[in-house]
Amino acid sequence: MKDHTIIIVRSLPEGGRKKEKFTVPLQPGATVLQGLVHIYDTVDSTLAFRYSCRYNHCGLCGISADGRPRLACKTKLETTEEVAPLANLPILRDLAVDRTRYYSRFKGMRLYPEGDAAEPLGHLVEESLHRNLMGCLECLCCVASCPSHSLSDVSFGGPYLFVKLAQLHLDSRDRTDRRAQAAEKGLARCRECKKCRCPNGIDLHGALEALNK
Amino acid sequence: MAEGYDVVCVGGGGAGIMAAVAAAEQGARVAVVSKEPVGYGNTRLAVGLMACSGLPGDTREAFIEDVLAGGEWLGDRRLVEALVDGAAEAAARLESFGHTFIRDSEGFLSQQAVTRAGGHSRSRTLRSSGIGIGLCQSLRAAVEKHGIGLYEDTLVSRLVKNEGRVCGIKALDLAEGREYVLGAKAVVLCTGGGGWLFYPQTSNARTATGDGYALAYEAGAELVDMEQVQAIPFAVTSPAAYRGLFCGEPALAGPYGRILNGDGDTILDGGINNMSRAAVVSRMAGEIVAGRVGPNGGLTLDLRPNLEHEDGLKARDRLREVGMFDVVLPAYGRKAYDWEEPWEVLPTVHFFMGGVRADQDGRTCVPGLFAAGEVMGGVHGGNRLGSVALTEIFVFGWRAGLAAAEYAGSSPAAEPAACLGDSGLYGRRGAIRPVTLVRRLQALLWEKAGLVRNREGLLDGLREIDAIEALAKTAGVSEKRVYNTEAADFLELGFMLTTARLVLTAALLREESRGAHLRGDFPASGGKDWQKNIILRRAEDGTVDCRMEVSRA
Ligand SMILES: Cc1cc2nc3c(=O)[nH]c(=O)nc-3n(C[C@H](O)[C@H](O)[C@H](O)COP(=O)(O)OP(=O)(O)OC[C@H]3O[C@@H](n4cnc5c(N)ncnc54)[C@H](O)[C@@H]3O)c2cc1C
Ligand code: SF4
Ligand code: SF4
Ligand code: FES
Repeated sequence: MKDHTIIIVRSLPEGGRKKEKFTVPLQPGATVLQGLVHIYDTVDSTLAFRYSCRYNHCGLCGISADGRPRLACKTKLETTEEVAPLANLPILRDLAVDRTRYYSRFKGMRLYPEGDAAEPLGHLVEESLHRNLMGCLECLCCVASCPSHSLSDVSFGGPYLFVKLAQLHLDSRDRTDRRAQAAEKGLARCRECKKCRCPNGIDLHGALEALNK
Repeated sequence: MAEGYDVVCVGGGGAGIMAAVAAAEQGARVAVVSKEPVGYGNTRLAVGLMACSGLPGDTREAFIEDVLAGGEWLGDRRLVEALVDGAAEAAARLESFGHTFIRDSEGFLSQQAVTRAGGHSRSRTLRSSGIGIGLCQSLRAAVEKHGIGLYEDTLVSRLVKNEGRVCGIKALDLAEGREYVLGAKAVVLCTGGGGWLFYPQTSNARTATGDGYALAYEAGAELVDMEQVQAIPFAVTSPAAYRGLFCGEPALAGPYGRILNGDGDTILDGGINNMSRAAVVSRMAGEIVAGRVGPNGGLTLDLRPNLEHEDGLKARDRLREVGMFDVVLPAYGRKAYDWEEPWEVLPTVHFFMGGVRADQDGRTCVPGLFAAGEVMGGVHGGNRLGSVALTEIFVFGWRAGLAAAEYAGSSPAAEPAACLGDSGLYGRRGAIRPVTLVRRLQALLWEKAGLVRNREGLLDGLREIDAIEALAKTAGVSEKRVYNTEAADFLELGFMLTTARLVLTAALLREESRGAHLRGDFPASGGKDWQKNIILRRAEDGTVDCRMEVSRA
């Protein structure tokens, strides 16, 4: 079996980063996640990273692969040289995102349907964009690709929040003005930008448009 | 951190969140403690299929009989009745949280909108917008709406008892590397299953390490039918990164699909979609044990015959829309995904039917301790039908949450024993890394207690578990405090060893083949004589106390 050398950029809790080189076997069809698990199992089990499902269901394995935000379980190991934590997100250690801290940005935004909900299990028409957006893995890759998002400035919502707001806006059971919330959270900045990317097929730009109209 | 709650739900999957919301609606002070972020677990990985009651063309009796017969008469009728009676309400409650079940083109839950999942005699299964991912987004939102305390990345390492009652939990905050005790008048265990004990041959989430079985057992609760570990027939065998990942239940075969062994002989031809999971796995296991397998140890699933029939093509498109076999695309490529090429499959560990013994309201025999969701046993008996797990976790999560709130309201606050300080977990010296032993245990379990079991293998397995347990005492954990998963591995290893011992002990006792439990040395069903539940409990001297009871199917 061929070997593959990979650099891992480890975020240190006390601040700063450290680059480390590891050699891992390159099995056929190997993923970056498989490489990380191999390192964890055989070399260094202090390597911190998240995963749960091994393929495309949990959204916990987001990393930056050669600078591109990706799910580690869907990224080919063979063509990846450097793995780093997702940019612009709070990191606990090494590659593990502090998700609790990230979510705390949205406290009080009432991100659930409110109002005179239609009769549950009764008549309901779902727009295809809503169906698409409900598949958002919440991996936060898009957030890492947004130039306007910053850790220290919570006044700007960012693409993940806009997907959430668009889901609710498109939900006939919700009565809150989600467009107004999006506007308050800086949606105007998106108009000339559209730099965010979703590696998982979520129609991010459709979501932004739905909030903008 | 002396702050106490009325109700603490351990586990932030579907059952734990539902229990928390139920208790919060009763006015209880509630927290969810979960070793992952809240809204994950196996619930996140689900295809989002949920069996519902009261749909046109269905009856209460038909649903109840399907579950009991599917479980080969090991299930508890009272639990199954509660399951069926609460199903529609549970589905409606999810929609009130913001979840969407997929309607027909007119916007109704008509027969066009529902499907017939494996083992059911009627179409009663709802599909979810955004599958398990969408479902979990709605569940997270419900937690926020109800002002429930959140302890994420926090692993519960022990249930704390005082005067015979559970009165709190010992927790490890993985994010900060801090141990503490949280007081609770009632604890609801919602820790999910234990498929990860068989990694990589499992469809389950990384966190499904069977912690809840061990926590309950150590606290003195009873466990029922722990030998009943379901393998689902179809998982991919390669690439190694995806080995063991779920790509379908019997329905995937469509009406005309067939299964071939490694010699190219057809072993099942057509109608697989109407067979139970247990029946398909049992047929496949025979070939696998005999070594008539393909290059990666599996059998061949050939779905091409479906393409010649209209109903076959329909089955493909529907299953594709549901997202049941998504992983086939990266694993085997486009042609396989289009069913134009056969591919290799191997059964994979999917669900624990057995678990903590509880009544319809989640009460265990230990005062103050409740259980709900996959960690609870007794509903599915020897085999779980497709789409009933989600029904189970939401129905019983709700009921257990209500009962726990009521119990908390009438029970005086018990102070958990003085704060257990630092246990010396971080920086414990040792020559072996916990994950090494975890991997050794997992390989052992698949070999000795995976598809087919026999007496010799199980006895060997139990001895090997003792050996790994002895080595575990010498395992080390680095001193890093922040998100040090070695610490989690170390604690999980302890749970896995206990749960493994319970599974093997029960498997040794059941000297017949029934449901998911296949014995090479007792290949036949024991018939009515064996319609018995195996009940395990920790004896005073620390050994496993076993007894059998006639099942209440
Ligand atoms: C791939 C896949 C597809 C499936 N599809 C379907 C389907 O379509 N329909 C269906 O009905 N069923 C399906 N199932 C089964 C179903 O998803 C599960 O049985 C169900 O979701 C279990 O829910 P739960 O709340 O009991 O446990 P989980 O959702 O697994 O949640 C358990 C939680 O407890 C936490 N936890 C565990 N131990 C500890 C501890 N010691 N301390 C703190 N927290 C802890 C975990 O982190 C996790 O968050 C599927 C399962 C899989 C794996
Ligand atoms: S929109 Fe895409 S990139 Fe962003 S969180 Fe959702 S799945 Fe991840
Ligand atoms: S459009 Fe630009 S500013 Fe707006 S969310 Fe996307 S990347 Fe960020
Ligand atoms: S491990 Fe779950 S999405 Fe990658």
